[in-house]
Amino acid sequence: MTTLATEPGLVVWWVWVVAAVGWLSVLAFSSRPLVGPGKVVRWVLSSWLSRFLLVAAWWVVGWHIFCQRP
Amino acid sequence: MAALLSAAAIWLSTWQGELSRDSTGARRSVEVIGAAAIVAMVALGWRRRPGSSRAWAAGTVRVTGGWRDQPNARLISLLVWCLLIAGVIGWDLFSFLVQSPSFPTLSTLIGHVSRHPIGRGLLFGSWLVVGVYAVAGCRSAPRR
Repeated sequence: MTTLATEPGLVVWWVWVVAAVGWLSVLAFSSRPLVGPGKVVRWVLSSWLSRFLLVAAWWVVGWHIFCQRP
Repeated sequence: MAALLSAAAIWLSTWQGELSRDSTGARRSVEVIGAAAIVAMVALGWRRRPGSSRAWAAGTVRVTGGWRDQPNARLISLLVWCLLIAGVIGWDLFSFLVQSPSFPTLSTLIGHVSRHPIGRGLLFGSWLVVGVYAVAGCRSAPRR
């Protein structure tokens, strides 16, 4: 029986999780002027169009998770 | 005001946790919250309105086009962000197209959490927090 933990697709998801955590750690401890998540979010929120698209994407994700998933 | 909103969000998340995806309450609440988010975004951002969309797009194109002139630290971090975001979206799309239990989509993984009332409630609370940040993020911008 294949367990959830050994599925190849799941392993790739774990790789992305580790990569994201590693990158956030680099951002937290690096003294170099890197672009952090706050700057990325502020960039997205800095115009009406991008802000509206972000809110629309947020709503679609909510609809999918709470009205389509179990 | 913040305490009242927090209490309302906790009550809403607890209530939502008990609902199923097919229930009218789940659908109506997500619809109403979405409409309220759009209204609140416009109302809160009206006087502190962000820059024009055209200027935003032009600035983005200018920065992307002049990538050679960017400082190394900035260039590397932008590349890593692009890689992470494109990688997650690409892998999710690939898993969706393959349609195999061996390649679960992000949606399937979230479904393992949202099928339990506590997980559904916590996810709903997190979704609300992200929405509030996206809607009210303009409050940090200077008033024009």
